[in-house]
Amino acid sequence: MTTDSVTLTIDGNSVTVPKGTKVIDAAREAGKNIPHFCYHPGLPVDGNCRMCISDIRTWNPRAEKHMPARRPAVACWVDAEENMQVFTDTPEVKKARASVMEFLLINHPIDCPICDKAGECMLQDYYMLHDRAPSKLREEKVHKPRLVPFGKRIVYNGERCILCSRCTRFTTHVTKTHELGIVNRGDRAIVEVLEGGDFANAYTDNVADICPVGALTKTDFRFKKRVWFLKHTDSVCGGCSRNCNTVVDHDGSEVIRIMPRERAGVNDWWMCNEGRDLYKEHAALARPAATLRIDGLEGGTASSITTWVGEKLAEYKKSDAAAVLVSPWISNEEAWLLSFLLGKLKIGHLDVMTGRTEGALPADDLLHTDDPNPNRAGAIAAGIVPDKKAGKGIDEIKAAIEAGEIEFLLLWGPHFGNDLDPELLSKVATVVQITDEHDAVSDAAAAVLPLRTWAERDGTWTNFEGHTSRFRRSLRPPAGALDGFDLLMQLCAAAGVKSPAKSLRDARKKLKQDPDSDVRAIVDGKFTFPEQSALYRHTSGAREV
Amino acid sequence: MSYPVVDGSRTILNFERGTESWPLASYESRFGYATAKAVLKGGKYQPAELLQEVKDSGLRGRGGAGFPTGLKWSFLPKDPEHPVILAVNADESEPGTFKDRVIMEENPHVLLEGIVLSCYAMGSNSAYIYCRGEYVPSLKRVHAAIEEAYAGGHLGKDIYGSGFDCDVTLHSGAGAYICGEETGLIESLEGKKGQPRIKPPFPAVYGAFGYPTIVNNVESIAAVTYIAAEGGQAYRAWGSDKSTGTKLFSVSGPVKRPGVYEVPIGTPFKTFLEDNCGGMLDGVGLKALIIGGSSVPVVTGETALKINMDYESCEEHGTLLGSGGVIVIGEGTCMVRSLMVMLRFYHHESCGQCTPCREGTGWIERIVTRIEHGDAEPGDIDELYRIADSMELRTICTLADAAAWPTKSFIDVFRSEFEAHIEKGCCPFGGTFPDHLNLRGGGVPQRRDDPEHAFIA
Repeated sequence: MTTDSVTLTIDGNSVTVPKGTKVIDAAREAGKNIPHFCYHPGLPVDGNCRMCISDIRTWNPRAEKHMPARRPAVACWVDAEENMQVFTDTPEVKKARASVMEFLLINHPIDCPICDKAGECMLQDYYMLHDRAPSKLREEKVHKPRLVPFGKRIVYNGERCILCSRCTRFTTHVTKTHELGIVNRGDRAIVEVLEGGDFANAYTDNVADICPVGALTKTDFRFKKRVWFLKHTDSVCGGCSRNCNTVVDHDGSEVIRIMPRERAGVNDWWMCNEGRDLYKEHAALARPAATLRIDGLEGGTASSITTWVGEKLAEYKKSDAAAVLVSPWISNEEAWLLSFLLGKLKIGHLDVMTGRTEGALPADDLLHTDDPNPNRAGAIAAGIVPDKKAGKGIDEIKAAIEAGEIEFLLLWGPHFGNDLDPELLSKVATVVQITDEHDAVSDAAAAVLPLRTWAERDGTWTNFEGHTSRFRRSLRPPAGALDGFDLLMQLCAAAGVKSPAKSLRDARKKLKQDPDSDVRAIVDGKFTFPEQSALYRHTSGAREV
Repeated sequence: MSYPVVDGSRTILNFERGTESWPLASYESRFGYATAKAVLKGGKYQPAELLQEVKDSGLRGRGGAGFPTGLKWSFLPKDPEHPVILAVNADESEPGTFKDRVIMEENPHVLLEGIVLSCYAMGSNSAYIYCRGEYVPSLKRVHAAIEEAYAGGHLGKDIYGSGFDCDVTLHSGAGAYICGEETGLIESLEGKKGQPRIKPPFPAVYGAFGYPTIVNNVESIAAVTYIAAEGGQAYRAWGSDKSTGTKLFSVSGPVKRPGVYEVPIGTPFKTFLEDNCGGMLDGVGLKALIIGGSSVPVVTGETALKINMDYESCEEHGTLLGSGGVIVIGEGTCMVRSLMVMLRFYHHESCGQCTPCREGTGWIERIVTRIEHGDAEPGDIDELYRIADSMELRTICTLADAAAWPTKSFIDVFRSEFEAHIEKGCCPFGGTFPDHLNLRGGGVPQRRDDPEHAFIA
């Protein structure tokens, strides 16, 4: 034991945690979830809900015994101490929790049938776990304002609110914008947007995620879907180079909403509003079709076109007249294999494009970065850089196209338009476009191959700080859309290059990725509890029991 | 000349009643600031010695909890890296308690002298007086007294040339009972919403503005003046071993002379009622007594007459000395209605932070209101008791307990009255207070010597 850690027992199980850990976190280390509403690891402790009341006994060296607290303490506030004893489910503790549940529910409207939170509501979960008693209230409930708009994206229902202050602490301590506050006293208290202000920061939707009940709901999700019809898939937001880890909630063919999931060091628990809306852009995407416009070879299937492209690439082996430009939306595995293939073919004119610029947000000190593309860092690290000896970078490639020196140009991925205009491309004899978005070039390119989007394939991205995160396939891809990695394997085969990896999994193994990149929140469509990463994916920490 | 004590036990209210006792000149004629001068200039005590005197005196906090004052001061860090702050709790809002108001209105300088001496003992140079917002006359008197004291050189920089600085700031509350809780007071003082903080850390370590802070009641600090003048042992001349000194009691209810009295702690209530208060009103019997402000458990009139007004005796008889807000309840008063009025107060004043208090105070008020109006079932009494029990000890501060204790004790002591309400389907007392204890006027002495209501600093 070092002086920086303390050992305590939680319901008889010994656990060692760093000094300064709260008892509630120590208990989770020991595999015990102490129920709570107001506590959130990303927010300062407030200790108001009283749900995590536990029997916490500190060691008194003078009396040589464990001393129970005179006033039962809350596990979210008390620091773990050496030789402390914590009991989380004694009859007294259970009674205290049942009474807190009772108090929370007496004035709650119990309108679960019309509440969007139903199914992922901590009140519901804890009621089943800790109370299960009928209401004893005979009087009129307290009435408060409902349907109060908090800006354009959030709607507040004061009657459902349990005043845990998570939302006000979020605006005070995380975004530091201070829009929300609790006004009035006692059971007349409500959350309000401060007078004369608007609730319009870039992170407002997080308050609905962390709201343990249905008091704050998102206008984007209200009355759209019952949560138990949602399928959940671990994913990553591509809206900027932060790569917030997300969960895509979908019904198999359509994304219903995007929620953040915990990933320390990347997005912690949060995500911006724009990232959540990215699924709308995805749904509206115009998808390309496999096309070949070479005299005598028109039409053809995706696989025959792939073979053609692969052979064409091989033709340009060691040639100075071929160039490859890659979108920063490529995955690490694809980038790795592509760079390997081009290395073998000695095609050195290779670079990452500017990518998307529309939707760029001002960088802030919370999540937003100034690059609205997910994987520039990963693509460069995987070898999408000009050949050291004779390779040209993007500006030189552009100059070479202008000079008519480039005969073959491969464009991988969407969003090339900020670097290359169609007129410039007309100077290249053969343009091959492999993309998930139909655009002006798709109508003119010699060959077009349709790719799957981030929501339809599996891969990893690396953010601007070097953290790698894995996204998984959420949606069924449209007919014909090809998986980027499979496509590259076929290109390798057609070009006569032996692929260094047998499969995507093999590639990931060879890339030696950080195991943290694949911390799962969801396995087989269900949340993996009590995994810490999943605990705060929504609001509920209750489900693991 | 030595510290004048009137009527054998009036150390804080040591002036002729009915005289202009509050100006500086009047105070100085009563040994005023002589102690401060002797201590600061004359070197009567070193700070540590004065702290020891306070400890020796056995003075216990007069705000309600009765925590030894000297011991509280000794919790301050030995070599604090930040300045120490003294916050004087003048947010006196407990129903039935109005003693601090009399100190502030009638003898504000004894408080200021106590502040100077306390600050000297605890090594603080700045004190705040957090005064209840509704106490407009008190605010005016204290404000005037502070200005006088500054002008007279009793406050400010380098007092009496001793090199000791003491600045006093008067802060008006905005009418919230919860700001009388020490950490609620600190939050309010900092300009935030008055909501108690979770302890630990205690204010002595991390208080107002993050500095070590001692929060003491007005009466405790005022008592320090006498202790510094005459020594801790002299203060022990009154009371018993564990309850020492004199105490102010504010008496309301159907007695002949309601008001504020300073008597030796441990005076039998029977003697106090007869000698000081002139006994009960003619024809009104003593039904019950709440001795320490509305939060403490109620006792029957019979028990009340056995109580000596000190900490131990009160505990022995199932109640607490509290703040000394003596509420005398006469025969003919409906106990259910009394409880209803009290709970309405706690419901209104709950800060809304902790779940049990926020939801519970409103719920028990509604149940008691139903019982009072005859719309209740026999099970409701046990239900009420159960809810009060669930509220107790489950919250950050003691407001929930303060609502739960009287509820439980009212049921314990006067259960038959609750049952009578349910059986009869209405209030057996006619649903109102008797004339002698009307909600307006009646028991509480009304003082309107200051026609202006708004306090403008």
